Amino acid sequence: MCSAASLGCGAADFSRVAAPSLGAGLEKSGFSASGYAAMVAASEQLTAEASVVINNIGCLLDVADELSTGNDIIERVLWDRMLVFRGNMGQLLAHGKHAPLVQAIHTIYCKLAPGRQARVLIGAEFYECYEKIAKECHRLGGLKLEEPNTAQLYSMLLDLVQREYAIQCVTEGRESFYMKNERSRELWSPVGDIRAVRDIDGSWDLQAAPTIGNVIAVDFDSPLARNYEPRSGVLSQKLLECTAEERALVVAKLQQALDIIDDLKPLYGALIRNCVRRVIVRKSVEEADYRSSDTSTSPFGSEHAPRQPGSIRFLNPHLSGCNVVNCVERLLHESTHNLLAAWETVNGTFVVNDDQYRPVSPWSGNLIPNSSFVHATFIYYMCRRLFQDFLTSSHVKRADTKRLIADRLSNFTAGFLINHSIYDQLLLHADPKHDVRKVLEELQDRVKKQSDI
Amino acid sequence: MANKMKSLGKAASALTLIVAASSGVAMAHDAVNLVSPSTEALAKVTAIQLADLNSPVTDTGALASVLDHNHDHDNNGGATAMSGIIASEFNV
Repeated sequence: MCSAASLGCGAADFSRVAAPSLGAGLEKSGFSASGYAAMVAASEQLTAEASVVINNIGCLLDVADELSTGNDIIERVLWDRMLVFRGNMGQLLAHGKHAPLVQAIHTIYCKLAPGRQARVLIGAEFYECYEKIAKECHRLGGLKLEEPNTAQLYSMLLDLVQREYAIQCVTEGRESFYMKNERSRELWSPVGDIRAVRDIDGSWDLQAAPTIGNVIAVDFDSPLARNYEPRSGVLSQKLLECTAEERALVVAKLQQALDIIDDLKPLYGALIRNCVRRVIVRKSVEEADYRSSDTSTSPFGSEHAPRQPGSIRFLNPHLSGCNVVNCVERLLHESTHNLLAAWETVNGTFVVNDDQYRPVSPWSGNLIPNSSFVHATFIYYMCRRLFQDFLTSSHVKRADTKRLIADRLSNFTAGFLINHSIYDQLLLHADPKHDVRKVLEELQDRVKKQSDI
Repeated sequence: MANKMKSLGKAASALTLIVAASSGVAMAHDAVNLVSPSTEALAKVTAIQLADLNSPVTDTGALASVLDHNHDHDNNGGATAMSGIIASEFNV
């Protein structure tokens, strides 16, 4: 079993690990050191091997290289991230604890079964809500519940816990007060894998979203999936309805992609299952229009938004131009973003971003933020390892598929072959807290050695 | 070793299984067996007691400080285009 020290924190600085994004940490919110130790001990009961250290960026190499410790590291990161989110929730509740609205949130949260509390904390919506409240606090110079925007955001948090509680009530054969007053005919869990639907007779039933790998929801319909986000490359696109056939096709493609990853790189498969709770699908182009249009612009894309942990987004995977090879790459790519972002949530960011200074990506030639560059290095290293096996595997039957895999593999490799340290591409004002140089150069060296350069 | 790694691909962690199994919909695999003994331990991780909230919260700037540490690669670090349509800055 691991101690707080083996998690990279002594008793004195537990709050850094428990809530690294909040300057005051948990202690000021009333979360005692002994309470934190109990939480860690409890979380250890749920992991097979908890004696792993994850506070060093080097641990992520074990995952990238598929070492036997890799799975334990992934699990440890995700448990610790949940502790951070639990701390974030505690912070929100503690700050406004005298307000009836906040007391209501706490009351309902306490009514949730532990598994549902976990679902609230790690669902895509909670952290986004937390971050928005934090931004409002920053703007207003403190928490001001009397401000309409802040109250609105706390109302979103109330809605979040009420929805999960409402679904819990349905499983118990009851109708919550929230549901009795809900005029919408459906309520979505914050995880996005299930919704309560009011049938024509007025009673509520549960409907599960389709899944891949048994545990990852493919989300075509939730409010989050149908949202318009102007800053998103995927969710800013037109919203068209997928037909039943298109839905089945998307799920089949993604499942096949996950099966291939499971077969070739089991640890990467485990990473995807454990880090991703839902794949949001956006259709913006009809197949007929895609086939008849010129090919100068591609309608495909994928993304991960750190403020919505566990959620990845795919644009137009129903189209014939999106094949399983694309899905294999994108599933691993976006899932790895999730793992890396989770690690950063627990341990602090790899590097500080400054939008004025963007390094050039040797993979795309684009100017990207420093943190994206660090992510990209890990991701392309792992994609390269996967595609090396993919290229020679029995999954590849057609010559054009083989060419596509080979092309992607060349691209993944090429980025590492620049003739200077890949770390020196970064544009940093100061040395990062973590030993980013050592890890990035290690990844680069390995690829160069394998490429005889 | 190889067998251990092979089995991982089909498995999911206890946390993942608890979250999935707690949806209320029966799962195809034996997650429930795994979930049952774990929920008590999980409760200690997720619970937020009233007592937890009753210490004086003196630092009202704590929430605001999140921005100093935030990793916002919402529209850049995470977003990547398969090719084309998404603005080039997304394409890492």
